[in-house]
Amino acid sequence: MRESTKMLIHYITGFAILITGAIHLIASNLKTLEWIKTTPLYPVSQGIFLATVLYHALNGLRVILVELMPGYRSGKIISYTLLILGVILFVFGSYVLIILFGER
Amino acid sequence: MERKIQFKVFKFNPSIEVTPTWRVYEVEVDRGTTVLDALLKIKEEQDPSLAIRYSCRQAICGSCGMMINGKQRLACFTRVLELNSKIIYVEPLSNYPIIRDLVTDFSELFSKERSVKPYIIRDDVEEMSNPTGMYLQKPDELLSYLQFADCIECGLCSSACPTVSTDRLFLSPMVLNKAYRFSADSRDSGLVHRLPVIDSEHGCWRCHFAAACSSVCPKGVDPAKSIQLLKRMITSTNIFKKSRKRIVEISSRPHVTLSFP
Ligand code: SF4
Ligand code: SF4
Ligand code: FES
Repeated sequence: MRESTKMLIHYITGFAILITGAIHLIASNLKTLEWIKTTPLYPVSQGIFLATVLYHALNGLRVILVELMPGYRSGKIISYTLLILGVILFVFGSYVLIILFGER
Repeated sequence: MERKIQFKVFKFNPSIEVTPTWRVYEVEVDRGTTVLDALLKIKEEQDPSLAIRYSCRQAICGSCGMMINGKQRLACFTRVLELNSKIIYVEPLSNYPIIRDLVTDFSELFSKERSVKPYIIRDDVEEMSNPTGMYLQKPDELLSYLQFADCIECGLCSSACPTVSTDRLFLSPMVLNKAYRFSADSRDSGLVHRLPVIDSEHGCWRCHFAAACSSVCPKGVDPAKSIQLLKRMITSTNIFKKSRKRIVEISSRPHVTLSFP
């Protein structure tokens, strides 16, 4: 994947975190809007939140690490390690979300 | 009116010395004396071993970049009294290997520059090899890159860039500015050939837009801006899946002989 594509996704996920994070904060803190949590779209928004936070955070970490440890081989090692870590965290996070929302 | 100013100059010959030293010289300067004039005076009258690189003495060749009182400047473009300081510290540019004293090694920077193909690339190979005329450009097409074409390759921006100091593979502001200067030229269609390098892990996306580069540029080039424009150009090329194809009128010039023996 081209670096520009990775960074474009980085910016888009940043925006998505803002929206889905705001939905979560509003639904959890404003009593009058608590009903949002009961809509079927709420679990979807939290799934998007999980995926976007993971991508954004791990890609940010990748950017820092490739700058601190420049090298074509180290770049590859960093990228693949973080990709595997991201997949594991996503699977675990999705499992938690399914348990949480599946009970309802 | 002449004034005596103290110069603390960095001296180091890495091929025979282990650690650098600071030498102190006193020089009489007037309001027209530049730091380069003062250094040449030191070289002529006090220390012939002092190594300096310079050529044009008028901010054109880009050879005399150095750290003057901690900031990247051209020695020939900096008047001593303008610095308003009794002691002037002169060091080699940071972020470059030192060859000797104030002379730094730009070979890595220039090889990065070559990697972005800093010249006009066109699709019409036949016209490139056997030109039938000259490429006309409208004033606004010229203005779209003119500011960025003023670069004299002094390397001050790359010395000031915080990313260059951590990531030695980062292409650097001077090189990325050059890539944009040509990619934005209406006569050029070479962006696609530059992408593998400028759109890589150590390409333009590693610029964090702190603009330290632009703040030291002696020619007002603003490489931080050209890098952001380059990012925009790459993103729109990716989204619309084609590079901005520009058609530039070729006007024949019958009075010019274009055939070569
Ligand atoms: S952009 Fe400015 S500072 Fe950088 S190399 Fe060109 S002239 Fe020098
Ligand atoms: S704006 Fe970009 S290129 Fe310029 S100094 Fe900052 S990181 Fe370096
Ligand atoms: S000597 Fe040419 S730029 Fe200073």
